[in-house]
Amino acid sequence: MSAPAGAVATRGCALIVDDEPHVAELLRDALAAEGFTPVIAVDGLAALRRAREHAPDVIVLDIGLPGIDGFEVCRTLRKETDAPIIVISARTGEIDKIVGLEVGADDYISKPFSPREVVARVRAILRRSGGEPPQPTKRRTIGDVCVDADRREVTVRGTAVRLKPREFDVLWLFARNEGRVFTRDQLIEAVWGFDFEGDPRTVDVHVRRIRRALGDPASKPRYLQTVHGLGYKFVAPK
Amino acid sequence: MTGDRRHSPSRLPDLATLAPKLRAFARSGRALPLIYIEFASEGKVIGPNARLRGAAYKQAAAAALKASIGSVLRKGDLVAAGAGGSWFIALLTARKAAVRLQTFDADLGVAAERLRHAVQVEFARVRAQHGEGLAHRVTVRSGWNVLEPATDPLEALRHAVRGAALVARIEERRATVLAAVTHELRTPLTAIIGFAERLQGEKLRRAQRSRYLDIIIEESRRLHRLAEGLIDVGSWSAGSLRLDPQSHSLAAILAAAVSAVAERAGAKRVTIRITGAAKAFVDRDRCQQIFINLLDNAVRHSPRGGRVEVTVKQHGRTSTVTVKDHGPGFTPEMRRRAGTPFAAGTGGKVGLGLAVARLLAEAHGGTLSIPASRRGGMVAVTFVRPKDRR
Repeated sequence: MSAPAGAVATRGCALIVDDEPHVAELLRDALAAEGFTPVIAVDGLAALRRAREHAPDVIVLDIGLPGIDGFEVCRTLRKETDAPIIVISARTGEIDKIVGLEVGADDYISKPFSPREVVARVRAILRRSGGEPPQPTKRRTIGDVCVDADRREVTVRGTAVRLKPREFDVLWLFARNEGRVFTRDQLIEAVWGFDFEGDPRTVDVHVRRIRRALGDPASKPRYLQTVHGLGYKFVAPK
Repeated sequence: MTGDRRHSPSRLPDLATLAPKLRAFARSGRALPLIYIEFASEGKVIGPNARLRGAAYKQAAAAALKASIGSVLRKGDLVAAGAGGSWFIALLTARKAAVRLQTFDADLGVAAERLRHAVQVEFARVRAQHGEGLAHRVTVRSGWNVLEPATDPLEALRHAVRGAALVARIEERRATVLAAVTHELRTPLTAIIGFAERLQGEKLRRAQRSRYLDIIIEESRRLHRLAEGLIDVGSWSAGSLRLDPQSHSLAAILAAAVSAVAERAGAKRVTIRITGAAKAFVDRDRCQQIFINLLDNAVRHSPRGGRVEVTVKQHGRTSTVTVKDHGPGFTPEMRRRAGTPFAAGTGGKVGLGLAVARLLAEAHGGTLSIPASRRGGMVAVTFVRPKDRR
């Protein structure tokens, strides 16, 4: 199977290993839409062949393959490539997760999954394995708010305000990306990480607390603003 | 000996050493909750040598017991092992065992399952770390019983252990069925939820939208077939499965079954060829379900570009359909266990499809067998027309 027409591949090759044609197609389309070049293998032997031919940048591997056991495929792939491996499985037991991660998988997703989640995890894993991130500026001042990442301090008009660690992380993300709109998913991925399994509405709770700490009125926030239908952004008040 | 973290199953006392303590409990008139844990290894060992394998599993057993003691068992609980260390028991002796059980959701079965799970996790961890024989799985079963006070407490204990061992097998079967059902449901659900999300969130061309809707419909039908199969299994178990047998061409039913697996076959470029003809007195929908399950299994295990050969024969009142693939085939153990409903298939995966097919074949008064095959896998289904039917 090849990528749908019109997809511009910029993010590298994604090897998808699944004998269920519809699941493989779902992953192919989702990853192609994100700029990956998908390659599909329907069993373990084909997976090993394709991995050697295409040197994928990431591998999404279904454990429930016919023939060679999926865990054995994972183990062999791990010996032959450094590409991150995300295991997907219809089995949800802790035992299978343990075995999967022990034999070299970098992440484990249970079926049924959201294709958005798979894409987010692929991107997160590639970010982590893709070399040093650029050094962030350690201090940002937006309006009356000053955020210092070295000291993990926040001041408003020179007066310190108290934030919990995660609240600080969210504020720091906004502060160093002034004006940029973040969706809930993007905030979760950036701050909580790909293994977050809680309620995405925790983002709203954290935004509410940050506003309260900054003295930013919830009814008409000046700094941490809601962009309806999209998410939030942090700006200097006019 | 009590719940001591230093113990491994190989050093656990045997049942006889518990006799003095059991007599004391018997005199007090107290019944003791009993949890039974059994290890069963299966599958082929791929490892450098047997001695290494033995050491690895002793390590796993020791780690498993250590993990379980403290998480489930308490100081004062009595533990003892069976001969060879393939099982051990724990007697919950705390005066407020009832209160502890309430902590465990007031259910001795839940406590047993927690202990089983802790032990199984440790085995999985050691097995994976050791890097040997992933096909060699150790299954941990748990059972439970209550040891009643008796004049011969050791004999009562042996009796209670036998009962708990039976419970362990029943519980394992129940868990296997549940795992089979959830496992089989997850893949069509993945496609349905996934493509529905893509329809929701993406700007798609009309052809792509149409394709996604087709897939959602097809996978929904697959879910429906699964549900119907499970309902039939339940009805069969209860003795209430009702068939509507009529005279049908088996080749025609097979053709319809091939349509249901066409996409999977096409994705792997597997060709399906049907030869021969026969008529049988069958419930059309159930018969089609049998063939779908067999063809799906055959395609799934076929190599890319392979072929599946379906042969239909008639000898008098007996009609036989044989489905042969050129995949890895069935091992002798799989041939033996695939005849058992909800037995593990390749690599520990659960064979719901074959189990349902077998039950439906038997409900028709027919048979499903897995003949030995030199190359590939082969499954044969036989129907016998009743004497009074044409």
